[in-house]
Amino acid sequence: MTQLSNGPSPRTQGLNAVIRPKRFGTSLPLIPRIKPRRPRTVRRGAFWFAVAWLTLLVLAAVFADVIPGLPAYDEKIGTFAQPPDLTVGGLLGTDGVGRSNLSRIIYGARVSLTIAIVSTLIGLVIGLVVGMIGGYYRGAWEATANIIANTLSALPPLLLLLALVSAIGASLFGITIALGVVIADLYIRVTKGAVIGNVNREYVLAARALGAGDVRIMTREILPNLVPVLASIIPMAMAIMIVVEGSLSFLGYGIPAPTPSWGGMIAAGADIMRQFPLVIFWPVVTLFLTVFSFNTIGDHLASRTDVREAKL
Amino acid sequence: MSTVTDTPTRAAWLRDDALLTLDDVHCAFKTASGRVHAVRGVTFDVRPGETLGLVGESGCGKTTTGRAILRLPGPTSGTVSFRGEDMESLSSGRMRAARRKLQMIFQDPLSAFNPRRKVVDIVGEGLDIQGVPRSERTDRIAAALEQVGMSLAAVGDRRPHELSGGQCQRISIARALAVGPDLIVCDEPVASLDVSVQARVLNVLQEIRERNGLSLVFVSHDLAVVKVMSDRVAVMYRGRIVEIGPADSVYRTPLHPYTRRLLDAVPVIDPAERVWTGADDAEDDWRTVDRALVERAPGHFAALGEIVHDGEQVP
Amino acid sequence: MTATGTDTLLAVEDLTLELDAAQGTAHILRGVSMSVPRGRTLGIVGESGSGKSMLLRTVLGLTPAGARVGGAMSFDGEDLSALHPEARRTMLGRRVGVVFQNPMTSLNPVRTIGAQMAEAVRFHQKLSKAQARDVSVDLLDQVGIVNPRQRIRDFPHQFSGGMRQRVMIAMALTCSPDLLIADEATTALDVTVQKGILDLLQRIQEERRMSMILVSHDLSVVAGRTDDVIVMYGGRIVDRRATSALFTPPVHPYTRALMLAIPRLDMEAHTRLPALGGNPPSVFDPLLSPAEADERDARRWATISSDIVEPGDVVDPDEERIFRPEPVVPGSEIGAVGTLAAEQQAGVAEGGDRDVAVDTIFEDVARDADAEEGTR
Repeated sequence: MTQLSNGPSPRTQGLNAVIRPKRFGTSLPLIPRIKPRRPRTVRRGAFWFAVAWLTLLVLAAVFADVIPGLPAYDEKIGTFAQPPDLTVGGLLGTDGVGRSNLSRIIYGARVSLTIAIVSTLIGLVIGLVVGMIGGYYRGAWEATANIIANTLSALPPLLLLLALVSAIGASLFGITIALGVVIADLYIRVTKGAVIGNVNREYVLAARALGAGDVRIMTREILPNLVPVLASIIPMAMAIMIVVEGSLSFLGYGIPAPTPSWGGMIAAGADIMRQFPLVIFWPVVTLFLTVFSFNTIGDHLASRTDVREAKL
Repeated sequence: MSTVTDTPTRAAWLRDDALLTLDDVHCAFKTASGRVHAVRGVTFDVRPGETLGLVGESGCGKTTTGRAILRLPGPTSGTVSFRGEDMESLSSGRMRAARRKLQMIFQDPLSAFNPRRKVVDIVGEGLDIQGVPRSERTDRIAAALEQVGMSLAAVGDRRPHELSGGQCQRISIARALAVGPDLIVCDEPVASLDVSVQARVLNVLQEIRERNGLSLVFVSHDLAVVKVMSDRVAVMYRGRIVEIGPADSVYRTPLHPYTRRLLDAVPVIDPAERVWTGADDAEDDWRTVDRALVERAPGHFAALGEIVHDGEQVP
Repeated sequence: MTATGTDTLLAVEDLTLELDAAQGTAHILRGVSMSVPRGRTLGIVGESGSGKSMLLRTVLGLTPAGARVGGAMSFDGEDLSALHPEARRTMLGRRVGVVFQNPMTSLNPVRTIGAQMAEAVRFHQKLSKAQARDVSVDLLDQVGIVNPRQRIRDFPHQFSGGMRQRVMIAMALTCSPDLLIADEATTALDVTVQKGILDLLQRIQEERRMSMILVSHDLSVVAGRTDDVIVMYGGRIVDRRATSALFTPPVHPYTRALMLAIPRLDMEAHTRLPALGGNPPSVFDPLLSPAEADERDARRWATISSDIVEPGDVVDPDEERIFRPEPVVPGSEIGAVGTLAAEQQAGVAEGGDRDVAVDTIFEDVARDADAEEGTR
C-alpha cells in the first residue's frame, strides 16, 4: 500500500514530539480544548503595542503640564498649517490657527478620553439597570425597557444631544451626560437581549433552587456572563463617543474653544483637509490607534476570561 | 351531612406517609405556537428514603414535572405538598426553609455551573445564600465533596472547564448535598455521559442516597438506568402518567401498551433482559385518549380504565 | 492486510491523524487498520475521545484544516491516500452516503425538503426537475415518510426529530451508495424512534445489499445490529471481531468493562455498577507502540470497581485513606478473563439467542454486587 509522500512516517515524528506547555492560562485541562494554533507573535505584538500606546497616552495626558518644551494648547507658535519641524512644539506641525498639534493632541486626550470613559460608564449604568430589569422580569418591565430604548433611538441623536447640552450646559459635564444618555439605548438593547438569553440557563435555575433571590441572581450569575458581550461593543462605542463630540464641536455645542478635543480637531481640520491634509491627519491617527488599542485589549481580555469548553 | 356534591376522591396509589405528594398537577406555558399543556393531571408521591423513577420520551412532561416540584416554575394548578404542607400556601420564610430540603441536579454538567466560579464557591453557594458562617461553610463543603468521592484540597480551586463531565456532575451532586436536603430531583443526570462515567456517577448517587436516607425523583428517558436506581417507576406519556408501580412489577409485567412499546424498543446486549410477560389485550387507542389509572396488580396501576374527560382538548 | 479483490469495499491501513493545537500535537488516530467487506455491517464502538468519529471523517476527507493524515486508505480497490481531502470527498461523495447525529444542522432550515433533495439527486444524475422530484418522492416513501408528495413542500422544522433523520437517510441514498455510514445517527432520538430508524437502516441495507457502518458510543445499539464490530480506545482499535463473538471467551478486557458498566433492564434497584475509573488517554499523550499502549491501558482496564472515589480527586495526608482501586470482579487481570469464562459451561447454544458467556459474566456482577451490599 502506498504511503503519503509528504514527510517522514508520522510515527517517527510522534516519538520525537514534545508537549509544549501553554504560557498563559490555567493548567492542562482534563478535557483538552483543541484550538488551531494562531500566529502567536502577531497577537502578542498587537496586545503589547496597545498597552504601550494607551500607557503613553494616559501618561502624556496626565503629565502634560510638565512635559518640557510643550507649548500651551492655545499658544500660537507659528503660522497656520506648518509642516512638522524638529522643535517639541512643532513635532506634528501646527493647526489651522497656528497652534501646536502635538500639544493639542495631548491636551485633547484629556478631554476625549474622559468623554469616552465617563459617557460610556453613564450609558452602561443606565443600560445595565434598565436592560437587566426588563430582561429578567419580562412582561411590563420589558415593555417599559423597550419604550425607553425605542424612544431614545427614534429621536435623532444629534437633536437629542443638542437639546440636552443646551439644557445642562456645554461643559465637559454636560456633554458627557448627554452622550451617555444617547448611547444608553445601545446598552439597553444588548443587555436585555443577553439577559433573556441567560435567564433560563441551568445555572440560574440551580441558583434559584439553592434559594438565591432575584438580586443575587442578577448580580452574581447573569451580570458576569454579560461581560464578553459588552466587552465587544464597548470599544466601538467609545470611539463613536469621541467622534460625536467632534460633531458637537463642529456645530458649536462642543467643548468651548480653545480647549482641544480630538473630535473638535477632526471637525476643524476637515475644513482645510484638501489643502492641508496633515492637520486632520494627526487627530485621526491618534483616534485610530486609541480605538485599535481598546479593541485589542478588549479582545485579549475576552479570550483570556472566556471559559467556553469544547469536547472531543 | 355536608351538601358538597362533588368531593374529589384521593388517587388510590397515594400513600399516607409520603414525603412529597403531587396531586393533579398541571403545567402550561405560553409559547410562540400557543399555549402548551406540558403536564396534564399528574399525581404521585414519594416516601422518605424511596426513589421514584419518572420515565418517558421527549415531550412527555417529565422534566417539567421535576421542575414543578422545585417551583422552577411551579404548577399552574394542582398541589405540591412537602411534609404534608401545600407549598403554595407557605409564607416566604417557610418557603425558603422548604427550598433547602428540596434540591435538584441537572443534565448538562457544564451549563449547570457559572463557568467563572471555583469549585469551592460552586459547592458552597447554597450555604452562602443561607448565610452560614465561613468556617462552618468550609467544613460542610469538604463533607459534601467527600461524600461524592472528592476532596476539597484536590478540586476546590479548580474551575468547571478544567474538569471532566463526570467530575462536574459529582460537583453538582455535592452542591445539592451541601444544604442538607431530604429529597433530590435528578433531571437526566447521566444522559450526556459516557458509559463508564455514567455508571460511576450512578454509583455516587446510590451512595449518597444510602448514607443520607434521601428520597430521589429520578427523571430519565433511559429505562435501564431508571431500573437500576428506582424502587418505583412512573411512565409518562403526553403529560400524563400511564403506568405507575413498583419497578420490578412494571418492568416484568408492563400493563400499558406504551410501556411495552418502550421496553421493546430498548436496545439490549443480552436478549434475556427482556423478561416481561403480560396480557396483550390492552386498548390500542392510548395515543389519543386519556384513561383513568386502575390497579391491576398490587400497588401497580395503569391507564386502562374508563376514558377521562378532564375538559382538555385531547390533541 | 491486503485487498482481497473486490470483496473489500473500504480498507484502511495504519491510519494516523495529527493536529496541532495550543497544548501540543494531538494524535487523534494512532495507527488504525480495518476493512469493511461488501454487503456487511460494521459497528464501531467507543467512548468520547476514542477517535471513532474522526476515523470516518478522515476517510471521507472531512478533517479540520491543518490535520495531517498518514497511512493508507482504499475504496473498492482504488487508492485514496494519494488524494487531497477535497478529491477524496468528491470521489466518495458518489459512493458513500453519510447520516450524522444532528439532522437539524445538516439540513438547511430555510429551504424545503423537496428542494434540498432534488438538488442532491440532480447533483448525482442528469435529470429534469420533474424527474428529480419523482425520485425524491420515491426515496422519501422508501424511508417511511407518509404522504411524501405533500411533505416535500415542507421545511425541516415541520418534521419531528425522527422524521428528519429519515429525510437525512433519504438524502444519503440519493446517489445509490455502496456504503452507508450512520455516525451516532440515533443518539439524540427517543428510544422508540431510534428503533424505527435502526430497523429502517437494516432493511435498506438488506434490500440494496449495501455495506453499512454504524458508529455509536452505545454498545447495545451495535450489539444487535451488526455483523462485525470494532472497539476503539485512545485513538486505536483494541478489539475487533464478529458481533456474535463479542462475548465469547477470551473477552477483551475493555469490551468487558464497557459491558459491565451498562445497566440492565432486569437488575435489582440500588445495584452498584462496576465500571472503569480514571480517564481515557489524552490525545496529547505521546505515541506508543501497540504493545506499550496495551500495557498502559491494561492498568486502567483492570481497575473495574463500584467504588466512588477517583484517583486524583482525593488528596489525604493520611496514607491509609488514599484510594487504591480494588477490583470488584474477580479474575479481572488480563489473561484470566479467558480463564474465567472458560471455567463456565462450554455449552454455547449454536445460533441460539442466549450466550452463556454473557450470562456468567452478569452472574459474577450480581454476586459481587450483593457481596458489596453486605460489606457497606
